[in-house]
Amino acid sequence: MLVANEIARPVELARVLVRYGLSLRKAHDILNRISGGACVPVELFGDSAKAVTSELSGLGVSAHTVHVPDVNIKRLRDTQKLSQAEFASLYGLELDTLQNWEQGRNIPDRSTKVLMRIIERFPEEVFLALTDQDSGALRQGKRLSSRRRMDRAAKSQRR
Amino acid sequence: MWGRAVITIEIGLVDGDIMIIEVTTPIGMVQIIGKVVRVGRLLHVSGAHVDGLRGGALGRAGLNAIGRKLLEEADVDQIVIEGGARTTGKNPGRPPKVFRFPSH
Repeated sequence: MLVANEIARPVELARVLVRYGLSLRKAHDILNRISGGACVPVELFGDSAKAVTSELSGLGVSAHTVHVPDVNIKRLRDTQKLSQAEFASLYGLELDTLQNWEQGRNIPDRSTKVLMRIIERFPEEVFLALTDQDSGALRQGKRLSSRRRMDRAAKSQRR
Repeated sequence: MWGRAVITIEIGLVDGDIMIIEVTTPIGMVQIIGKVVRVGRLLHVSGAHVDGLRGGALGRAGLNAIGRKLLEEADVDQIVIEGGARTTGKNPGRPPKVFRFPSH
């Protein structure tokens, strides 16, 4: 993820981006977007993330490495105090797929890992998004387990 | 003051209509990246970014000499340069004024 600070040598930056595997067209597009204030995700191919980050930093660009998160899904589910069936239902997963992940028979794909990471970091926000509620409930201050949130949502639907 | 005879212009990198143009002058090299399109007798450069010399180093006469050399090399009557959003200076994030050479 690239964010511009003050790029004193924009053409040199374009050359560096080309050296890290981008076409000149793509490098020019990124240069225009980050100099306009955008934050641009980009895939670069260098010897090490540290070396790439350091070189870009010298040209006035902050590069933030995006890691593919490795989330222990069983631990996440245990933290939320949900059964496999409840967890699968809440997050739109196939039950047998979830079981395969937890038992190591299959590995979640990248987008699933990202989703699990978001659930792990922001469980309340994910729940509000999935149940079309605003963030007022969060501002009330009480952090609820997923089971209690599900119970409350079910009760309010029955009313 | 030096004139266009001592200026050389080369294309550094090309990807379709996106180019890095290297302009060598007696006081150093200026590089320009942008989308370069020729429309009749007009050369239009958009999303342009420049680096290589400190601001003001070329002076108006130096810029004019480069402009004349570009007209000659590209065989056009006018060059229009639209800068990309500024990356430094007083208004970073905003594009500079459109530059036309000759200005009339």
